[in-house]
Amino acid sequence: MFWQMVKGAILRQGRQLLFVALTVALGVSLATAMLNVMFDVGDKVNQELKAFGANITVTSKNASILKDIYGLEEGSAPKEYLLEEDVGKLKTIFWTNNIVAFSPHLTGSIKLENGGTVPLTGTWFDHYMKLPTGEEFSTGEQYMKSWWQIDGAWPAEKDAGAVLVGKALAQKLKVKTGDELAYAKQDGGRGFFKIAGVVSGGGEEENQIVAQLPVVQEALGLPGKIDTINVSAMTTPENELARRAAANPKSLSLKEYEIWYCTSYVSSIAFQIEEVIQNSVARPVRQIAESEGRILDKTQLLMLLITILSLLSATMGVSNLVSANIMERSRELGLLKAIGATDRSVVVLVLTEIFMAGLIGGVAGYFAGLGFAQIIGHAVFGSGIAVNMMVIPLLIVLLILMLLLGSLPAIRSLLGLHPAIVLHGR
Amino acid sequence: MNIQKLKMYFTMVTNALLRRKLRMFIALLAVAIGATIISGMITVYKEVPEQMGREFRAYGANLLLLPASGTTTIQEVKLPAVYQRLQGHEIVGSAPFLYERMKINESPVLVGGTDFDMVKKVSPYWQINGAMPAADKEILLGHELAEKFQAKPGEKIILALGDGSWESPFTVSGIVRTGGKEEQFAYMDLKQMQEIVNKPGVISMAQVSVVANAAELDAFARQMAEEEPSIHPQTVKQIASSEQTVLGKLQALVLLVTVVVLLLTLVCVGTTMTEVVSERRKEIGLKKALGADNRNIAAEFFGESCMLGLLGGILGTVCGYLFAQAVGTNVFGRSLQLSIPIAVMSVVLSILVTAIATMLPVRTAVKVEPAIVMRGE
Amino acid sequence: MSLLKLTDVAMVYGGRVTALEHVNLTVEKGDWLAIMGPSGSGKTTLMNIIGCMDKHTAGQVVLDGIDLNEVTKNELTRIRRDKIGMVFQQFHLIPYLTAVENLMVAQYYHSIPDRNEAMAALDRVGLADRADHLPSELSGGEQQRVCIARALINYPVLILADEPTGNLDEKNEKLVMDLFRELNKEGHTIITVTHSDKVGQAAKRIVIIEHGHLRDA
Repeated sequence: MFWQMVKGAILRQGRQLLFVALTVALGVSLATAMLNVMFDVGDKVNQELKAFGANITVTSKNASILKDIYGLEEGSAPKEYLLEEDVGKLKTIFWTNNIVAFSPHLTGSIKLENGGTVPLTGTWFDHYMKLPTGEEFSTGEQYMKSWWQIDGAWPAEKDAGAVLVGKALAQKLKVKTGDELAYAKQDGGRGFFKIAGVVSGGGEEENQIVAQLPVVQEALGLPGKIDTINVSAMTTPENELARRAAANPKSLSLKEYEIWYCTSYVSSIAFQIEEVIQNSVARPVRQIAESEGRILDKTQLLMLLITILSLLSATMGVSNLVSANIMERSRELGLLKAIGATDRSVVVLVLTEIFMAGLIGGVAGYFAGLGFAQIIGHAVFGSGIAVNMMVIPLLIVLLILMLLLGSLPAIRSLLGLHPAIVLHGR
Repeated sequence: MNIQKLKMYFTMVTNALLRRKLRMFIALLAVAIGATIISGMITVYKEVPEQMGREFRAYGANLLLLPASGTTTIQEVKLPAVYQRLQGHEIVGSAPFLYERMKINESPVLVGGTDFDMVKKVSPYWQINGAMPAADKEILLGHELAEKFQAKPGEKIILALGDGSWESPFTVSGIVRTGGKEEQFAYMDLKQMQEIVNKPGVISMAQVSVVANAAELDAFARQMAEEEPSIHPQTVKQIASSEQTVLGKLQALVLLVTVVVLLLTLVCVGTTMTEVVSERRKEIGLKKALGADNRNIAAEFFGESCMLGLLGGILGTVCGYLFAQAVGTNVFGRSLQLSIPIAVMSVVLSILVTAIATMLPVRTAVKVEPAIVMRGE
Repeated sequence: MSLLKLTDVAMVYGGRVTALEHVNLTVEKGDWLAIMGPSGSGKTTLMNIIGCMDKHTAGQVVLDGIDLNEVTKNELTRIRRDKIGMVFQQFHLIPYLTAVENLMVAQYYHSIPDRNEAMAALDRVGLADRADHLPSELSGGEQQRVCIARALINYPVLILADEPTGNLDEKNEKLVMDLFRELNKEGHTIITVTHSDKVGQAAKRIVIIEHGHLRDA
């Protein structure tokens, strides 16, 4: 009989229960979208923070190869170099998937024919490579220097002599995009650069010629050599363990070491890079690495609070509508009481109906919410949001809360309801 | 309308709200949630670039003040005027640097004189083993230098001028790691340095960390180039423009979320008000039977909805402000200013939304025939 | 001149369902007429036409000298407001207003609310001490008396009562009927629609409606 009544209610109250289902679907879809976005926002923002450039630099162990920032020349000591053939090994480390991009560099200076010696950097712009694992990978400066403004175009790899010239240097040399520059090679030969673009980025590239790596190796007489690799990796914000490990990995216990090694701290990634590239030192760029952690924490906290607010409002909004809906039916329910139904049986009936409608709405809302999350992901970050299974139990709790809260005021007034009053229609 | 009529109008409108407690509480809640979202989320949305921008200052300087081409130094006295021009943007810090070639233990190194309190603000990422120089004759060594000299914090080194005209023992107060070029330099207090090299009031450059986006910085740089040719401001594009990219996305995210939540709340308010109106069809019929015309009915619902919107709006704005405060203190570590325009806007919007949500169903509800009161429904 | 005169009135809903046909009825000032008949006979339809809540589809209705054929819907509302006082089976008091405020609503739509006058009207039905109670705090009989007071408040020329005792027990029924009797004695014109013989017998004149046709009892 009970189920017959429920069935009857669904048939008769179809429109109203559909309304409850729709309301719940709306609330649940919002909650699904928000929770999924919240859980994924860390990864997404981390991805975005790669715009700040490399967070690890790899150099040769005994080399002080860097020039000072502000253009003051440093007395050059004999350099030691890394090997270009080792670069691909970066993608063989434990955290290989966290390595977003990298580019090798070889820096030196070159004598131009129209006078003057200028700094020269050789690098990959957009380099396609086959990894030892058989995968394919494209990387280079184009993937790392998102802030470079180029008047002209990035040099194409097949166009060997194409270079970028720093804006300040271009002004000094009075050259522009499309011009050619003749230079003297280390072995006395003559070479030409074709200016593909003028680059401005507010860094040392302003005063440099940035050319393809093989050309620079040939010009400087250093075949197969590089001096730095800039690596952009997705990392986990550092904690106490990571800081201790960074100071000295050997100070950790075996267990701590394992945890550290298998977490994508910038220090453990740097450590793993040193393991694969012979004779190298990998240093986290503190400026980038540390700030990243801070921004990530803040963003996640911000999203968490926003999510809580929207979940709260969704819960209240939905329970609001559910209770309005039950109130509308108070007459029918009073009738049930009038013909002898106990309070308990009426409440159980109402709750069963509401929960059935809510469940159907909840399932529909979940899938709609996944769609919502993808829309948000694509609109904001240009990529989909990962579906997190953690969301489901949270949603179930939320759904029960919504429906119970929504039924509560109605049930309370139902229990205090005298059948006579309902029938008199007061 | 005369005064008695007006009084009766208000009696009807307020009692419709006050004496139908549960019903109106539900409607009020819906409106208040909407207003909370509007005031809270919009405050957060508006504050994200500013407050997150401040967090992004952890990345360090986004503006360099360099000597104009042809010169190698800047007079310190000119700096305050430059900062004056940045008015309206919060300057997190500005660290002056004077670079000079000196000798440590007989080998040549670049030594920078700076203001360490400012360095802490501009470059919070400097990792220091030991401490920053605080007392006289203390020096901070870059990690690479320290390796080269095998120096540890607390040990003494001999600092000398390049031409050998002056030399003195200095204590290594700490060793700095940044993963960047700073590791090859040594740093000491700017004033001491200026005395030693006899260049009072002179610096080589200044690093400025200012809460502003790339476009604002570029505009500032252009303006500076015209008005103060002796200083060449340069935007650190890596920091400034990347910051803008990330902040833009964050703001877009908050906006999108706000819109989605707001839409849901609008639906809630809309359905609640439709319900409120439709369950009063009989009352509408009665009032018409008593001689009310459509305008009377509409005016009463309008009054009720405005009142509801006002109450809900104020309640929601307070809640929204509390939410913004929670975000401010927990995420950004500072309280957010109550923005009067946003508060006013959210109250006005809730009145507007409630009124519209009510008047739409009322438009059909006033078509109720007074005859419904006669049929014993 | 008669207060109300219906000549060959018909009401056809939606062009198909005929609710009233060839209805002729005259009500003089000071009269008390009871319209009786089984459910579905057209009582309510007739009531709606007399109460200016619906317009007949054929024939002529003249109320207090006004030909209702000639007026627009808005004017009909005004005539209803000025000429008719209504009492309903289900009372229809506004639940969130007190007894006296419910009376003042009727004044409000008619002209100007006047609390003293409303209190006097409540006193007239013996409810002055219940003036500040909400309808939910009043008994059925009390509610109906408030309703009658409301019907009187704007000095209507005609009081229209639809099953005024349908929701009342015997004791309250008597109270209400006594009130109607007094009102009629004072010169008020009353039309009651009912299927209770007891209520019908109280009237001066009874007409019976059957299948949309009117005949004298």
